[in-house]
Amino acid sequence: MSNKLLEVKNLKKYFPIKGGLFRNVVNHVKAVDGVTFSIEEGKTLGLVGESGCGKSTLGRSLLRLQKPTEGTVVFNGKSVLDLSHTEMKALRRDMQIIFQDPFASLNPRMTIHSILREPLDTHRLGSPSSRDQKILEIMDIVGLRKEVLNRYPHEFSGGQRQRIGIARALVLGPKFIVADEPVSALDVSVQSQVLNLISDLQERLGISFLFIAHDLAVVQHVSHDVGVMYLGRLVEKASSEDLYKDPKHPYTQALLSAIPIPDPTKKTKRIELEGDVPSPINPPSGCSFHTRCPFAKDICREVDPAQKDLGSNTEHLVSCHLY
Amino acid sequence: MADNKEPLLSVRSLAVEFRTDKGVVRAINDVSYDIFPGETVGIVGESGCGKSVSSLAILGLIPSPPGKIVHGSIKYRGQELVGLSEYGYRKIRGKSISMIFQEPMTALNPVFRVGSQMVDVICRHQKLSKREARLKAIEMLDKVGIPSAGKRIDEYPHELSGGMRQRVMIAMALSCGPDLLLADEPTTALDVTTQAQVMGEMAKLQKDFGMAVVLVTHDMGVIAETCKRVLVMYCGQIIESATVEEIFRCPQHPYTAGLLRSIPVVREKKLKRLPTIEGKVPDLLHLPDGCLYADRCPKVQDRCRKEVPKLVGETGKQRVACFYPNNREDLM
Amino acid sequence: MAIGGKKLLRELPKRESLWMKAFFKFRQDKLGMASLVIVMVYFIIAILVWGGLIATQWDELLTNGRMPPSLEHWFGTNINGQDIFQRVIFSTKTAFEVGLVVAIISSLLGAASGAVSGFYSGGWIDELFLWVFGCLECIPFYLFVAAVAFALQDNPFAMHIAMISTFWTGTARLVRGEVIKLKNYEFIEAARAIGVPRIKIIFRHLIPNTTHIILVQASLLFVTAIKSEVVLSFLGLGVKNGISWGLMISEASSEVASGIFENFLAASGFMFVLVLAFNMFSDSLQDALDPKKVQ
Repeated sequence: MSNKLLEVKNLKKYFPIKGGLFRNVVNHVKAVDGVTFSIEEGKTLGLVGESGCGKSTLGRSLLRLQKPTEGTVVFNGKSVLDLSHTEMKALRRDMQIIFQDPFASLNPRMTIHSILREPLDTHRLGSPSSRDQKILEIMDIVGLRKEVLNRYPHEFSGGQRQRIGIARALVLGPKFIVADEPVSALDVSVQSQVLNLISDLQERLGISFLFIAHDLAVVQHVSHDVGVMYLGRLVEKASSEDLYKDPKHPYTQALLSAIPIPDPTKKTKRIELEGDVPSPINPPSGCSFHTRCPFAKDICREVDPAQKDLGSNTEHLVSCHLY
Repeated sequence: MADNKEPLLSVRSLAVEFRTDKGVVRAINDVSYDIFPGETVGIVGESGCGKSVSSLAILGLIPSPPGKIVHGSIKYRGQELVGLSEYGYRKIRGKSISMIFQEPMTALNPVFRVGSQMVDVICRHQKLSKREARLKAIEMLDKVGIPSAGKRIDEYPHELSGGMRQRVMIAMALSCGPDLLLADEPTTALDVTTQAQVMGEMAKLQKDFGMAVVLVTHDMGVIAETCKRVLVMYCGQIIESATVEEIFRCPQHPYTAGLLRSIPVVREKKLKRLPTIEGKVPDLLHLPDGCLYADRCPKVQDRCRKEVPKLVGETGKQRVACFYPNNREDLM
Repeated sequence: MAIGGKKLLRELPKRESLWMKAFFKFRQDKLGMASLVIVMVYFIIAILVWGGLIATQWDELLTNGRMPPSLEHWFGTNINGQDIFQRVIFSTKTAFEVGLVVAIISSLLGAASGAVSGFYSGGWIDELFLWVFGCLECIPFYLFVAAVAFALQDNPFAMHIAMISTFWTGTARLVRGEVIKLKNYEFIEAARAIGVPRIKIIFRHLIPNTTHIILVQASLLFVTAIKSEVVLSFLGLGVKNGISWGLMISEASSEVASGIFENFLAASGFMFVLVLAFNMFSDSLQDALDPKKVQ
């Protein structure tokens, strides 16, 4: 039951910045700065943070689309970062990704049929005729009609393209999918359609998701657990119920209060944060959030807070000196 | 301040068409509304509904080979704007009516410093020396909440964060004290915390300057916080018009009701399935007969497929374009 | 429900690809269509010549020395007694041969190398290619051609080889630039996430999305090749067997001094019309293929 499908330990991704006459490495963009978490089979972790917090880089690092600088990723007992090229290719059948931009995530020169066939052809799964059968099955699950197959991506709306992207990720039968802001670029009325689809996939196919978003409202209903990232670090992680009822980290509280409520009678008690997000090139000393935190103390400037588990029956991790 | 009876901006039966490879598309069809001095009006709808086009039309910014205003009138303080020459529009843009856009990175010229762009705008409309204009620009940057404005004025757009750039754009738009600000999705590209800050600053500025704001957005939360009145658009038409309290308390049009229900919000309890609006927006090239929402409407009747409902109701009260609107039913 | 393979696709109605969209768009461009018609006329002439159906007597001495235009010889004959009109028609085939060979091979070479270079941009492969591009572009074109022509002596394709070896870098740079941009698009990341091998990514995903650039560049190369051939033939480095507009103009240089213009006008006239039409066709092609406008 408590089967850890994915375990990430101290993952770091630093991008080197070259400068000077000889293009030496001058500094680093610390996109992901030591992140640790795990996801169980069939569960979804929602990962929320604002732009520049490193969540997309993290998602891509798990699939080795980016090479992490440090840390380990263990999937189903295998250390992903140590696999050979062939072993990694085989593992790709189990780990897939859905992208944010429905317009850039499909090759405009390929028909939908080719797009959905390609993963099966690449891995030589089954016989050629059974591959088309598989495609039809998947299309049924995501709600696409078979007439779609002979068309090209530009003939479809954003929501439909996103479904095609999801179908492409499903065709190999993965156990884990990184969903990188899959609904951010969609209209509001279409967002909930796609979110419902993702919930269905969790239930029917038992797929685990890492659901990346910048909006806490979007992840609430599809996630079992939710994590909040700031400047490359995971500042809080708890079960979905606990995080929304009892957010402990000041950043999480500010994020929750910042969401405009579609109800003019409810006035939000908004926690105003000072200033802008600092650059990940030179993150602040100690706790990276201290420059904007309304509760900052002296110790926050000097010491990086350790991750503590404050939960009673479920895990509730927080990195903050207030606790 | 101003006489509340006379509208600042008056749009009547506006229609805008675009020529595409496949035929002519009516991006806006028969849109009419008024904006009074000092008020904030929200125009909400999803992609393709024509909300952005309606603001661009006011300032004559519709790209002219494919697009054209084919019908209707837009009157600003009694002066007709449709059909103005480019020269005529330029006298109004920035000075009387200003606009800010969604993507601050593409709205600011990356090879010029922020200060020079602002001074450019100020000098165009006011007879100030470069020096005076620069001081005015610093004052404006300060007002929009940019710290160390005196130093930041000499920076390039790429040196500023997204939130900062948006504030610069607001400062530029307000630097000549316009009566009306058209804001086209000004906070959509910003993070939620920055959005909260920028919205707060805009509200303060609006009070200081006493200007009217037309806020175009797809975010109902932003509408709830900032607007007094709301127009809901669908496929180029206004299908509901009401005060913000009325719209949220009792949305009469089924689309408005569906939209409000399907917004992802933080709820008390997790839901198994989120409410949605089934189907998708009709292709503007092949609009159905009758009500454009008929295919997706849970309450559709025969009449809906044959006739097009018009916006009915008294001015100043809640108006809706539907044959079977919701009445006194609560949200959900 | 065991439907599969080709049977499945045959059942469904064919929808429009980006090519068809471009084609429809192109059809509406009257100037583009007119220039395409002109180019096609020339092309048909070239095919007929190649098939040996017309202008067969271009080389024969039909009259005794130069004759003015008449019903028998529409443009008259040149100083050797050869029919100018037949020579001008035959030259169309030469022009197309040079243009097509150079354009097609340069495009293939350029596309492949540009794509590989762009895909590995920042790496040593890219640096190597850029160095090669730079070196080739430094050499003055006509000197290089002269050197190649001399080295290859009487090889009838000396001129073609010389042109290809300098023209391909232009396409390569353009394709490289586009690939560098495309490489970061999510559909490429998706292909990597699926495990598609790199070669396939380059040839199946990247290059097909640069064909609009390759095509337009190829049409420009076609025209440049024809124009370059004129200069080369003038310098004696051009076509060896056969006749071309360039050779005709070269021959005509002595005649023009005596006030005889037919040879010169015929050759330059035909060339001018083809080059102009092809340029306009290329402009319209670019408009029709522009992915930003095709939406």
